[in-house]
Amino acid sequence: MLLNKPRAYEVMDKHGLDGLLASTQINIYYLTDFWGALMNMRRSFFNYAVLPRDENVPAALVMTAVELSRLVEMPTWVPNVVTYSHPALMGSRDYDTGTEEPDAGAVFAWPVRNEDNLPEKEQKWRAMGAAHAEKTRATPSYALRQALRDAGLEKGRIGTDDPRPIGWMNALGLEGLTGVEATNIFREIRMVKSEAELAIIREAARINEDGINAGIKALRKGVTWGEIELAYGMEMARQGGRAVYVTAGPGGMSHDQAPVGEPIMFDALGEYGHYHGDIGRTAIIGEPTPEIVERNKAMSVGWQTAFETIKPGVTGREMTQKVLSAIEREGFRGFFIATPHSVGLEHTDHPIPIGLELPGSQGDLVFEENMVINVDLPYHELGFGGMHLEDMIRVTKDGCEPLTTMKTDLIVVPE
Amino acid sequence: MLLNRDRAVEVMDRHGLTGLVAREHVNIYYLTDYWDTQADGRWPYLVYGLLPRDTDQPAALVLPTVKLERLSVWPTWVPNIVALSDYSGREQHAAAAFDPTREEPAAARWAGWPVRDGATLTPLEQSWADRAAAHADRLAATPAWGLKRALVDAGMTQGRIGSDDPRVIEWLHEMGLPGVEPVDATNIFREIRMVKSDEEVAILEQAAQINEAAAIAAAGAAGEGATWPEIETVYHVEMSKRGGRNGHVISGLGGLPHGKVVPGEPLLIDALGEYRNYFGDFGRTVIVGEPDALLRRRADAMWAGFERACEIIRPGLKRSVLIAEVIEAVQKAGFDDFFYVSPHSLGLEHTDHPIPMGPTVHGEWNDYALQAGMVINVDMPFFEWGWGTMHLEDTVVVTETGFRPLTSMSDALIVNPA
Repeated sequence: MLLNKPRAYEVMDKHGLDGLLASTQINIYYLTDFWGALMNMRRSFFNYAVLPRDENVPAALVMTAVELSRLVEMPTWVPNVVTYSHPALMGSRDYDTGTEEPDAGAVFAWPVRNEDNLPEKEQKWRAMGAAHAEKTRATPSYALRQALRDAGLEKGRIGTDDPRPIGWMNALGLEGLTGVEATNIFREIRMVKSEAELAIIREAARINEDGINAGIKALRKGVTWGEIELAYGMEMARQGGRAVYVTAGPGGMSHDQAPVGEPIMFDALGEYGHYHGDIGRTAIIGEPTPEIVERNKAMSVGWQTAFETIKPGVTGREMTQKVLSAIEREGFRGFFIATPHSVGLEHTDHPIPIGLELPGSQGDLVFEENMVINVDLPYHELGFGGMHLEDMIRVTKDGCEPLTTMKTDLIVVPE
Repeated sequence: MLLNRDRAVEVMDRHGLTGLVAREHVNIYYLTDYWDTQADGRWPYLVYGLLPRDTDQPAALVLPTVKLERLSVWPTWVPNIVALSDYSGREQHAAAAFDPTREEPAAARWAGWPVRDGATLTPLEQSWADRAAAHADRLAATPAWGLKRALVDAGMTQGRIGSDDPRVIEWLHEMGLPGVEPVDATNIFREIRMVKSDEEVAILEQAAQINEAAAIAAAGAAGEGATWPEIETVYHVEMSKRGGRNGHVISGLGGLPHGKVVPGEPLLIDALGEYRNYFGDFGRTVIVGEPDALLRRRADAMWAGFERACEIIRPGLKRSVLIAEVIEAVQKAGFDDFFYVSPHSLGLEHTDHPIPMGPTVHGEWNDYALQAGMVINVDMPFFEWGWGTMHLEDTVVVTETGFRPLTSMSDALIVNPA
């Protein structure tokens, strides 16, 4: 189970919520462990998840009946799976949706051959379909209404990452439901990882580091950044991951082709199991100048300072100040960004201001056990080059544990 | 420009909109050509796109100031760039008290990265320095305040504003724009995007070719005993090799019935991959060993169905008619059990046309008619428990007189040696 259930209940209590309703893909996945094909298609409002605060009523997953067989391979822990039918098999009459619920279509009835001799998996897939046939509704919204009713959530304060479904439920008769903006509430819960999440993130971190190393291996005089991206992307894919980006900075590499003697920033973000790995390194073609070596050493000391500082109760602000002081002490004047961020289903997996909220309004990031943290140490100087250092750690009971190798040395590629 | 602006204006008029605000990354990209790294990191509410109905008013892109450099990689056509100072690392900045109905909060300073004394900058570096300098004195404090500025600049201070996230427009009520009325535009964006611009068709053609090549490679890896993860890896690596990004390749929704490929049992390959954030979508049937007469007949019949689709696809054809005609053609050709065809528009979403949301139910309203410039997939899956799975899916762009294929329309059946 990806969900950190005790934390979810604690955070729901803090915000006075009767339940959570997830509409966005990552939060549906987080609450249910399910990632369906429709979610790969960027289709919104065709899957939902419901987590009631009351532990004695059923959490729910809303999904298309067409994908039920997927649950055999990707099981969900939630006890209530409510499906909706495919429109191709629905009746064609018009409904007054203000007064009546449309009839669900028939279950997708693929033909069967040799029914008594089906492979075991096909038997399971068919059984999965049959088990849910009775409860199939006409559309995702009607299925969601059923899921909320099953959980006794016909009224109450529901935290949601998109307020629209609450309005739709009000229109479909659940008038006592009130929506509470929960984009940051979901992040607040997800910020402290469960064991299942940590297992995936460890793999994401490892694969992404292999990916960046493949990208760096492709670095040679005259190479284009596109070639480095290909090397990174192929290594990620080879290991079952997904390249998000590998970048030399927001604007890319400052030359059309890799130059000699100029530090180049590598920042790689990749996914595995929908969780992120995030890492940063500095590489150079040819012998580095003493200044570049010293700057990289100062950044390494900064990283080490972060590693030694982070533990439960320490704030991000404290860490930033110590890291920047350490880097300056080591002689790298003008270095000014040391940003810790939680990593997970989002690159920045902790509450951050949205809407009318202003910078700083979420308060300091305070480290807690089982947070996964990156410390971003980017530096660009036009006419000099780009540098970066970023590793992933898990906050432990009294310190932190590296999830990447923390090989912070400058990477020198022979000319 | 990805945006089909004439169509956007037509659709905005149909819905009585004064403009569009995009919060979803695919719609920001569509309106502005700009794709942000935060889009990839799943970071919402940091970047916005804005398109006024009034074509004399400036369209806008709202983005963090550190991302100004990225415009050198993903240039935008929109004239109004509103940069904001808030980004990861500036969260400690405390704004002074202010009245949100009359004033903006103060922005943090950002004048660009340091410049080495006496250095000769590369043209790219010079462009980054110029961008930072041009915006340094007029930064907005946050993305929402940047969006408000973009709306004011475009004269969109009241009226119906379509957004794929209406809560964004609600926020503006408390920021001194009480006259803006939010309209859910998730399907309005799809309605616009459904008819592609030339630039989109060019990207979709590349996406189709890359995805097809990767799918064919994956099909080739489906030899006797191959597992699905092995086949997936081939697809994903082949996508990456061609500069694409893997989406998914599936063979039925539960995987392989025997846990591995077995000779004589057909299996479908359905591949959905991305190139420059647009989808390619392609399907075929694979068999290890010589196909028997039944499989051959069925594959030929599905091809006959697709040929029928090719005969009738042209502007004005209703989706429901396309479905009925294809099914009839397949059945007439000897495949009686075939019953399901799902044509869908393809683009930044797999299903790139309006679909029901909320209490809305499928019906006549979304039985769209084809139009020139639509990119369409004819999706023809078939499952038979205890026998196997089949698929045929190609991509075409609708032209004034018919269609032009974007995939190769290669053989329906891929035969791997036993």
